Amino acid sequence: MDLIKYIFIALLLFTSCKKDKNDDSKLGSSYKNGLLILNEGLFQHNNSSLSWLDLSNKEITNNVFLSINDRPIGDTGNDMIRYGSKIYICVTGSSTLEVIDKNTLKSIKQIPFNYNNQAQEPRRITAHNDKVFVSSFDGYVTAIDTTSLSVHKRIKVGRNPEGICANNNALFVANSGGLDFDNPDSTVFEIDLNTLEVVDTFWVGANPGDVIADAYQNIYVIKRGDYESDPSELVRINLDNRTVENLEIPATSMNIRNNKLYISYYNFSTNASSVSIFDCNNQSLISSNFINSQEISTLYGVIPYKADELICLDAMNYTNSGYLRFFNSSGQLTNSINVGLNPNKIIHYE
Amino acid sequence: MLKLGANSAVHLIVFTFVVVLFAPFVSSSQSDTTNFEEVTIRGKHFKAAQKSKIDAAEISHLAPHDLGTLLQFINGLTIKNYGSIGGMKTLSHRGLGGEHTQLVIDGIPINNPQNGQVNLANISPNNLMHVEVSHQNNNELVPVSSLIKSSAVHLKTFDQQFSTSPIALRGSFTLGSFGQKEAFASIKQGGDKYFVSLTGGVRAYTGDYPYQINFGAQEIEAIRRNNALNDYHITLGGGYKWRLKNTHHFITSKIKSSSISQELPGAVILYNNMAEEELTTKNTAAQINYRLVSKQWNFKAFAKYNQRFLHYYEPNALNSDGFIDNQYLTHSASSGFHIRYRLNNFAFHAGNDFLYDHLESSRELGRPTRLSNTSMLKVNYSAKHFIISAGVFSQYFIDQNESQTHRNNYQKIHPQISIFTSDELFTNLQLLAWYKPSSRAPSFNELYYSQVGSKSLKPEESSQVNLGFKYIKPYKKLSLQLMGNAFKNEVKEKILALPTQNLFVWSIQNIGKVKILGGDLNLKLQYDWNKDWETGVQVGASYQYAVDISDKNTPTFNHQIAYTPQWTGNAMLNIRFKLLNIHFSSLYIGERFSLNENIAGNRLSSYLTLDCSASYAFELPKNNTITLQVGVKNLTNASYNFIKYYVMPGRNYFLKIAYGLN
Repeated sequence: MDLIKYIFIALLLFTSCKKDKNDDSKLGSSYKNGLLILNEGLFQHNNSSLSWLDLSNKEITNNVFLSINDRPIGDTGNDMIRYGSKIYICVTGSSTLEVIDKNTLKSIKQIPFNYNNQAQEPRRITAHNDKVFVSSFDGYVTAIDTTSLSVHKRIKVGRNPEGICANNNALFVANSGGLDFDNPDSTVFEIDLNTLEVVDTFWVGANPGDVIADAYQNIYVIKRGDYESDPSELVRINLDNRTVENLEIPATSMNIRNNKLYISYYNFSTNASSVSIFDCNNQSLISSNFINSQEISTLYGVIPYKADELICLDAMNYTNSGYLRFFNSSGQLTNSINVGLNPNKIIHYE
Repeated sequence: MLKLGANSAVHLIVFTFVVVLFAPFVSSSQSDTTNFEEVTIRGKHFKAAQKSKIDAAEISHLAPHDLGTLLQFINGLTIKNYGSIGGMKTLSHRGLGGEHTQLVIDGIPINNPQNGQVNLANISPNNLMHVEVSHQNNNELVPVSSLIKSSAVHLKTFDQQFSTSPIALRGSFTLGSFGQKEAFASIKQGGDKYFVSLTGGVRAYTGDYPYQINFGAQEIEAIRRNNALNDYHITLGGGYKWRLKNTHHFITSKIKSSSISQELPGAVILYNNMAEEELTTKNTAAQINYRLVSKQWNFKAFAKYNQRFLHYYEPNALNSDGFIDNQYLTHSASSGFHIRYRLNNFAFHAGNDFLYDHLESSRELGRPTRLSNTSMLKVNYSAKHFIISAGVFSQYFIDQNESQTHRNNYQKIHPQISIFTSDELFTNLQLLAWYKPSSRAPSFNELYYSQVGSKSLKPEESSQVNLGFKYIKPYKKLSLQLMGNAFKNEVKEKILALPTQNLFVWSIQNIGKVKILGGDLNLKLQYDWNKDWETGVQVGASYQYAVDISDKNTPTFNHQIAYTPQWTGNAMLNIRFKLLNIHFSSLYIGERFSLNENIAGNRLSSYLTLDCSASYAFELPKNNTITLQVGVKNLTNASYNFIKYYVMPGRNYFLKIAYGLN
């Protein structure tokens, strides 16, 4: 009997010895001169998180959302934008839109994306005229009033919409159809922002993802193809003459700064990562291999930083914690910062 | 012609070295009294087998929900537990994946070519007479496929054993928390030459248990939903035996059919408690087993056909159909033999297992077929002080799928060597050492699953080196058994699933290499105070340092691999007073990681669970017994999960009434 007792005690001690260290340090109530990073996490692991990088001392603090709000963001934080005094995060797996205060990172409202008791799985966000527009996999774009944070309208679009952007008075939504693996969608819808009705359709190629507008009446779309024979490439919609052209630039995701497109491409069969720069003004490719990418394991996106620098998101095979790779104006690596799992969005606090 | 790879050459060198090293010790002979039944250790008489066993009494005290729950009490096995009743359970033996362990029920190997591992949650413990996990086994006539695998789980069921009683009965009825209802009955008519058995069972569970997950100052509380289960199974068995001169012949066979419909709750997804997936599994099998026993010759052969139907249904998907309906049908046919011939101090073994698997599905996976063949030649030499065994195994896999081109056929030679000391050398102590390499073929899912599978996958290779001891000491009222092992395992060409193009498109690759160092210790004590009082204690602890050594330049190099706790432990205490039994059992699962990177965010805390039960056996005239049992599982109401966000139930109760005749 004593033996058993001691074994139980020993086991109990064993269990209580090790406790997780919280790696959150004291956080100020106002965030300045830093980067807020959304880490997507891994599907079904509920481990999407926010990291804060203090640019004055390059100190990283992970899990800031959890420390401030005493609960995690949830599963698969897919997009994050700042609009007005708020930050909007769409969380696909948890099917929520998290609205947080820009200065305190405190949650203002968690908007559930359920309709008829079915998870809608929100994917991407854009904002225009005091509304945020959220695409969701159930085939809708939801317009949300940024003051009342209530749903203004659900707009029916194509299958499994992903990328969304506003240009002048129109909204462009890429219908991926990505959940029908053998039969993806290939359209981009144009929605009139006054009537919130679909007014036009563009055929851009299979499985479109990211969508971005420039200042010259062009919409750029990445059609991701089938990951095999149909490659992932950049496609341009010219709104003046309503034509679509495949620019045949390998691309998996993109961002824009001063009418230059920064295009990241990860070739999963060769594990090669590259960044191209496309000039939207004269419609030419400035560089097809801008950065020295040797340090990058899995390029997950490229984000313009300051006037002429870049941050590359490194997903490290997707199952290991990721890195932000900083590159200077000549494409040389200047710094690497370890963040959470699969970093995918950054907001720069000046 | 057999081709030896560089790897095989190394194995042969090791093999030769070990033989040479131990040759001087093999001096004189020892007579062996092995009979035709499975070998059991009587007193201190040691055999050349290393195994851990749970017997029928222990099984009934533990009242496990399924085989997975039961096997947690065997050292060195880690059960990956995805939920309570019905929740998938797979095992990992000493850091090797479940595909490296062979499940054998009544002498016939059970496989699941689609997933690669058998879901232990679907195997009912109700009719088990014992469960044995054998690591190394030199003498018994078991299927060759269980000898090549890193370990084997052997089950013996009531309905496949000969009985001299004209009639034998087993029956039970269980009521438990969260809608658990179980009924089981087995009737067996026996005689001098034959038996016929009929077994049936039903199991139902609503599984709507409450759980809580803590985050800082907040906690999320909810009820597990979409977790119900309905399970039916029926088995018709029979056997016939006869004797010709000094040769005994035995034939047993059975036909089994089972159907399990269950809801799949999945991982808890925060803020989204809307899972609606369902799974139906229908299994039909017919098998025959033949055994011949004479003084010098022993022979065993089996044949089996198995059909497995899987139906996955998700009623609310966001694809254009609005639902997902996937159906899979697997046909498996297997047969094998194992023959042993004794000559003086030698025993010569030969055997072969052949397996044919074919998958059809409603998905675009093609129609894959696999032929697997395992052959064995082995010799045992029983000297006075040592029993030494050396064998050669050949594994052959041929994969075909009309819609896809394939890697070449796979063939590999694996040597095995083991040395056990006999009880002539040390009276109460046995020392043992063995070396065992093995290959496991990729499952159909790994090869062909849409957008995931990779048809160029090679089999995964493992090797094990084990040093162990067993000490058995019977005193007047006390019996003591202490077993311990130290092992070094390695896995090469480990098959890993990794996301590639994006997080929704995964691919499966042969990229991993894992090194495992570990040990285990198990102590069993039995003290008989007097006729009325008896106490039994069992304590086990295992350690496994299982680290990724695939690539020095990755962040996971030398990190403990996912879901492999370094420390696990179990303890059981049984107190019997006359016909009353009080039983306590406890499990400890150490800290582990949900992904291969050992960082705080992936850490899962350790847990300790405690169960207890009390049973009273009413012994009625004419060998009738009625046993009444009540129990509490998770007595301390611990909030725990083995797999991240696959939450387990808190404190729960059961009541069981069991009846037995003969």
